[in-house]
Amino acid sequence: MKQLSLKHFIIRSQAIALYRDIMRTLLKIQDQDYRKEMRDWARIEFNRHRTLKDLGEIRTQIALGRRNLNELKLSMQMAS
Amino acid sequence: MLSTTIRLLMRSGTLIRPIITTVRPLSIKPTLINFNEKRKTLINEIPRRWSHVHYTYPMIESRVMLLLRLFDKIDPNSLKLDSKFVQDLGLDSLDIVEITAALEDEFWTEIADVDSDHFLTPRHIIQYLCDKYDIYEHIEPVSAGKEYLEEAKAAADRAHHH
Repeated sequence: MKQLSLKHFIIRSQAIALYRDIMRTLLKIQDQDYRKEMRDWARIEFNRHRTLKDLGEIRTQIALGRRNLNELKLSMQMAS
Repeated sequence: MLSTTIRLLMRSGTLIRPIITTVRPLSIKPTLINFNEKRKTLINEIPRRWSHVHYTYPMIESRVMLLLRLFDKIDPNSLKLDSKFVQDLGLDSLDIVEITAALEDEFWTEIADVDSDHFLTPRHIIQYLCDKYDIYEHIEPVSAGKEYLEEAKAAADRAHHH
């Protein structure tokens, strides 16, 4: 039985907060096809790294996700 | 353009429910509205939402269930009020985050992380929204006095017969 440490639990809540920010941002996209595509992409990315155990790798992925989210927000601002 | 019109709706003759047609910006100082002598309310105390829509329990329930049925990872045939998201419907925490974001969008409100952790069934979601909008018409009123009255009556009978 895998035991999650406290640090893992904290990082897990950070990852979920990132996913929530992504979802909230995606809901602002008007184009339904683009929104669906982005949402599927986010799901695939999160599910691919679901079984990571090393805290450093997890932090790297979360930082990458944040960077992608900021780029997405910028492109949405420029498009509107 | 600022509009300060307020329409009053008379319900059952004694209850007056004020309805704001537009959202009032914060820059306007609150003014005292005199509906009648007994009910003076500050206009800023009236909950600000799309008040031309009247929130009721059936409306909230149908909206939440529709939203869940439209979710592509949920099988609409197996969705019940009490079906658990994780155990029965096979969702995981990321899906619940997605559902919460869609609920926030649908109901024009913010739902905190701590609250969405407690969403285990659709019934929990509906109850949370009812609490948020002060809807309690679906809850049976609890009479705290019934048992006490019976006991008091029994005690009085006993005292009478002694």
